Amino acid sequence: MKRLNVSRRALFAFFVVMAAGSVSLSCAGVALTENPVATGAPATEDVPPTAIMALTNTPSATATPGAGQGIEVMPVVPESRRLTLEYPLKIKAGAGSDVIRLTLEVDSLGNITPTASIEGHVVEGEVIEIPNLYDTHTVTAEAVFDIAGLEVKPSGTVFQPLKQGERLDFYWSVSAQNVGTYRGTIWLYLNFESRSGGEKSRVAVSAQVVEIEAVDFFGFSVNFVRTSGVVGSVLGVIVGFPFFEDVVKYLWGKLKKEGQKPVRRSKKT
Amino acid sequence: MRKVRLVLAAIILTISIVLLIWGFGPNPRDSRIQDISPSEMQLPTPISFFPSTFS
Repeated sequence: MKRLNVSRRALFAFFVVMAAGSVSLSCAGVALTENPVATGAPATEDVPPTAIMALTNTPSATATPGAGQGIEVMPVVPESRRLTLEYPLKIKAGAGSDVIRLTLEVDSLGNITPTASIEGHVVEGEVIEIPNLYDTHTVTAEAVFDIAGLEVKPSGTVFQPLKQGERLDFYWSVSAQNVGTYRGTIWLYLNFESRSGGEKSRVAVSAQVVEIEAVDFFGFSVNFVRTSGVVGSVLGVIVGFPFFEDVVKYLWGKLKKEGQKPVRRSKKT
Repeated sequence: MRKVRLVLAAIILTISIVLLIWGFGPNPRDSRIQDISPSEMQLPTPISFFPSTFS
């Protein structure tokens, strides 16, 4: 009986401790969810969907938590661009080279106008002036053509300064010595260097897989085919030279007959 | 004999022209166009690492 009383007390004490622990844990949880800024957790639950859309539509506008700090706006490139890649599907092995062209031109239709911002949990309909990235940073386009088996010139990385409203052109010359299918990647990066602090950052804009097939003419090299074509043409002319007079006469006669046909019809009428 | 020579000349010329066209003709080319929005050319910030489902 005494043992039973002891065990009952122990069980009661255990339940009391557990209940107190669970109450304290739930209070802590409530405190965490009520004040997410204090813990650095994102306050996405209370933000209406329109606010999220506004935030994502203007990705440069980042609301910083804290009273009195306002909105810190990151500079962005104020234009859309269009990347055009032009490359040969097939090249002739052992012959001259062909050109690959990568163009980064300005898309005149693309403009962004931010109309809302987020400060705390309230959506405000004010216009944010986003600083121009070209004014705050030096932007450099970096292009690389990685492909194995082909001769590429220039090899390695090519840099060109990117300025507002101006297009960029990258050219590579490719040639193949052996027949086969070659696959490579054309990378385009943007390098940003802050004019004030000198901080550097890099963003990959595009990576395009390119497949180029080097071919020959049924096992014959391109130079052999070209030489054979020239020699064969000369030989064909020499062999067929005695018949040129007959051929010309035949064609002339045919043309003359066709020219006379309408005249005969007019006489009949 | 005359007819054979004419046929031979025609065959040689035809083959030679085919070889010349293949040897000096331009290579087939392909062109790709990709639109790049300003958000893809922005500075790398934490918000740029958001999944694409938000945008």
